[in-house]
Amino acid sequence: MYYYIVDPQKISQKEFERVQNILYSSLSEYRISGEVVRITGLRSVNQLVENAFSHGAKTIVAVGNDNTLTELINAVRGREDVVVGFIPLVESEIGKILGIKEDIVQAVKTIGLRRIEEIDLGSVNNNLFLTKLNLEQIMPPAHKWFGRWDIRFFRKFLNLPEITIKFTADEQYKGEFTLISGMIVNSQYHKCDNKIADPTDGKLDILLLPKLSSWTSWRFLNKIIAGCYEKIPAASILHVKKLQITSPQGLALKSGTRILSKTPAEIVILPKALKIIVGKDRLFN
Amino acid sequence: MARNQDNPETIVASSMRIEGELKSNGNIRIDGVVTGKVHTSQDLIVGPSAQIDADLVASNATIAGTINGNIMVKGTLLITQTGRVVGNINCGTLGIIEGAYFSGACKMNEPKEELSNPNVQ
Repeated sequence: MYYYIVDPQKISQKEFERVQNILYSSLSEYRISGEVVRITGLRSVNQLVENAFSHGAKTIVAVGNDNTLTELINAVRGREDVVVGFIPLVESEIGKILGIKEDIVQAVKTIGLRRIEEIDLGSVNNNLFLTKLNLEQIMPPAHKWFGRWDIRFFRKFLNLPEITIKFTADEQYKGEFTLISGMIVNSQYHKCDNKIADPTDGKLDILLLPKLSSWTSWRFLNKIIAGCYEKIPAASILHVKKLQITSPQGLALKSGTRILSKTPAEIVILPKALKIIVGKDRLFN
Repeated sequence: MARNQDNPETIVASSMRIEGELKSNGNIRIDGVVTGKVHTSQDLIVGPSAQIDADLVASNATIAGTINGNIMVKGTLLITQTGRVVGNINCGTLGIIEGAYFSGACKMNEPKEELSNPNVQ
């Protein structure tokens, strides 16, 4: 049985009604109709998931944005018999990773094809994430003017303060690194190396960027903004199953726009922890 | 040296310090400071700025930095002109570029004898 949890955030009421009409007709066309419920102020994702389980749902689909899917993943934690699906209503990094188009009809078709993969999840202080954590040092927003990067972003990037982190990896070695930016990656859309950010490899990829010279920063600016730290010569790359960041205190670990935790924190990989419906254009396997 | 495409590369940049046992199934490149042990089933590259107080185990290795420790390499070990190795070496094939420094014992695998052609009388 299919259970659809719709998140109307970030779209207008008029747009939401249009979306709903397309959704219902598509579900009917591809014969995957089920119960469609909407997140409201009174009904959270957790409550709706409990409702889904009580109705015997085996496939729960998040209809919304990346945060909607992340909340659903956290709500179904530990349920190995449940398959998760995703229909993005807005631009979605996770949708791109999973090969699910940002078009409702195409996304519903993908759900109907039921191509299921078991993928890894990251966990930090009991919060699950599918993509990555940023060690938040707030990166200035990058804008382009007439096709060229805004010089103000570049100046702000050069002036980012350095942070020294201390960590223990896999309980086998300790490390210390002075950085201006870092990521703990399970999967990400912008990647330059096929072996980095594979959500089926059972490892977290740690990408750490030190302070760079002006010339190096300018030369690799596109890669820095895209998050392709693995292509920057001075970056460190580690692959771990468990990372304990012991210092500094209070450094935020953000997934997207949400702060999931602050250091000190323990981040682990949960191999093949999620069964999810994917598209043929997915970025892994 | 062949680049392994199956496992991702581990890179310890020049500003990183590691203490303990660093293990990987892919290539490892070290430009920072490592104390303890380094183990890979693939290739190991030690950059000129690397300072390693550790035993190294790899399939092949290129040493351009400073090593205080024993090195065990199944295939080819190359010490470049900026390489300094204080410790024992065990390898299949050894190359030392003029200008390198090596102080320790060296043991190499016996070279395989060429098979004689059974058709030649």
